[in-house]
Amino acid sequence: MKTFAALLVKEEKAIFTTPIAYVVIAVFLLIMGYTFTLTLFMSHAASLVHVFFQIYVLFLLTVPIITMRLIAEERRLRTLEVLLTAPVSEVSVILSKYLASMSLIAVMLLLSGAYAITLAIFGQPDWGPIFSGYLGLLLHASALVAVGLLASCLVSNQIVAAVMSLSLFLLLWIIDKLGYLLPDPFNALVVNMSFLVHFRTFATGSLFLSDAGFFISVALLGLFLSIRALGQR
Amino acid sequence: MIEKLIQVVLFVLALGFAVAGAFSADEDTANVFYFGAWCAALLLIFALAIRIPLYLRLPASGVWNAGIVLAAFGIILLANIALYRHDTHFDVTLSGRFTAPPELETVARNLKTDVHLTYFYNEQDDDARTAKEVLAAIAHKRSHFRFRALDLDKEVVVARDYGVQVYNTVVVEAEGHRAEVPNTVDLREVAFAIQRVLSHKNPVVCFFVGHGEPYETVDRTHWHLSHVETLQARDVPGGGDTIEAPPAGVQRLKLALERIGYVDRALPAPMVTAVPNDCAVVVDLGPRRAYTPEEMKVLENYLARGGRLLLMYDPDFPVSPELGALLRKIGLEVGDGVVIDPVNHYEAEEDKVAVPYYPPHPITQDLALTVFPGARPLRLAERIPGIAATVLASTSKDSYLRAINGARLGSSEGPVALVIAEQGQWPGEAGKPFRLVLMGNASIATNAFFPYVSNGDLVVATIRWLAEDTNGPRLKPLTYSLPELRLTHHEMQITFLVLVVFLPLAVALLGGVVWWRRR
Repeated sequence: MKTFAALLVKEEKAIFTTPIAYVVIAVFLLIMGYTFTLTLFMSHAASLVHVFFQIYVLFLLTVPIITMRLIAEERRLRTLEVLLTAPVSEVSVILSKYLASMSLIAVMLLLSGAYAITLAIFGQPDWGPIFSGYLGLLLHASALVAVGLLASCLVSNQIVAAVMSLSLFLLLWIIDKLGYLLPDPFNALVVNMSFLVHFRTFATGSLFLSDAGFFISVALLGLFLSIRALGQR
Repeated sequence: MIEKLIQVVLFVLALGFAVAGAFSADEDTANVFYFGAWCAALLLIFALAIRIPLYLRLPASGVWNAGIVLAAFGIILLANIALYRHDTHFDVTLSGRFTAPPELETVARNLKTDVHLTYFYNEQDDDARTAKEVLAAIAHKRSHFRFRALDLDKEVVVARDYGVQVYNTVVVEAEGHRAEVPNTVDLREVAFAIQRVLSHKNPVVCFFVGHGEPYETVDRTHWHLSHVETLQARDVPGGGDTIEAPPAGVQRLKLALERIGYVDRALPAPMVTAVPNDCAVVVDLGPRRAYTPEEMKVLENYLARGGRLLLMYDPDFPVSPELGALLRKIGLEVGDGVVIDPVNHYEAEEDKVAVPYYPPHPITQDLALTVFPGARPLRLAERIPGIAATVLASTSKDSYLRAINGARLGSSEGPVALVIAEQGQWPGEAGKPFRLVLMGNASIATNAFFPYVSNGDLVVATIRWLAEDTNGPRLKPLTYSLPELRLTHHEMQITFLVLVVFLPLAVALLGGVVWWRRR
């Protein structure tokens, strides 16, 4: 447990003592702030639904940047061998990197709470969909980070890892469109692989437990395969 | 040791949730417990799976690994199918379809006498079944709210006795009065129907016409109810209902008055010598031409015998010397030009004056922002003994006047009155006290601006105050428009600066500090 805590602190420092994290957060807030104010001024709607969908897409693009270096960087710097020969398990290494990446996501979501506060100041927003939207984004990000981490474990090159996870994310974003063309029962199977299908219910405040289960299971699958991929290296 | 403990805890949790689910009374609760069991079981499988050896000392080690990966995918697939088959839905929307609308809650809470509702619903209609459930839940909580739901297809005899032929018709009965709302799943309509039944009388609002008022064409211009598909409209019955009507018309105001049991009719100025007794309130909304001396006499006589008058004048209405003299008798003045407010205005349009604060008055209770597009200035020139006058809405102290042709009129005017309410004895008369509300704007009541934040509330509350209508709670009028959040120009500037400039800049600066220290 102590080694896991030490690894987690190391990973958190690696993220938050470099300017990259702040650049990512600042750009994220700039884009989202602009989107939010523009949507608010044009539509006059006291809702964050459009913002949630925008963040959903933004996560598909930024998570590969966050996760690409997690293992591939260690490999490039030849610190991975040192790490794996130390008395720490693969589970600790993967989980510490995973939690550190998730903390960056959590900070981004926390700062975006300024939009909900703005709505509360000027109007009476419906808090149910706002809370469920944030929960959906957190679950969505947890699945993305696990899959991105797996890509980083599988290849040595950071760019290849980023492109690999980005391609997979984009496929899982739009796969439901393909699913509707398939015959029964493959259509249901493919449609339910779509991140967007499962995320939409959270954003609108009409959520199903199976959607939460989908993201949890994808995250656990990604973590499990990452642990095995790292171990086999 | 800790790993073992975690595994035992997860096993106990999974088992406990599964047993609780099996013994749950209803399916939804059971499914929530099963979800807990599902999460614990999946975590337990994960905790056990990460201990599976990475390699086997066998030639078929590759097959072993492929098998593990396939098994992992298989377990996840089966777990999701199982969860999908025992799913539960949560409506977390504040004004969700399974929640009574605030209008109905307010009316039900304030009932002092029994009200009987009979809902002839369509069993095949999801929204109607939901409305039935919500009404039954209210009846469970409120003793004066008596409710029964009848399936129209099965209860044809009762339906015939009631004269109901349309699905989803609500019949409201109280104290010998009755109202019907045909074909509705929008429970706000039910709230207004209850209020209509309880008000017993139907106050008549007479709209003065003959000077180019928009009410002249209210029955001649085409308008219709429409429906817009939005995320909210999908969830809330009636949430996407809108009106397609000319922006300069007053159909929204007319419907809002009808919903609270008022009757409106035209009062053709050139044809009347006195305001009829059935007029509870007389409204002159947006005249374009000056009154004749005879019409002036009609209005003065009406006020002198305790009339209830609402005058709403846009800047292009010519105020004749006779009208000016009449208003001066009670201390009022109507100025010329358009009020410009550089501080409080809607979005970037300085001639759409926004009023966020009001003095205490029955009309201004619970009012939020009101927006006066192209208002003309009013002035409380003199306090007349026996008349209580209140400036209900005024501009900021930086406001000034502009002529209709665009030229600025003089320097800064300070706060300019936009709405003034008066109540008291007409000078020289000793009869019934009159009530008068003078508004320096008529556009506020037109279809285009009636839905803006509290504009509709202000106009309806004014008419209700003039009619001395204190029966029942004050409900926000249905404006048949999508819910919107309106900001003043200043609020927009602050929002943009904080969210688009300061917040990202603060994070970037923090990053810069971190980078500098690492150097």
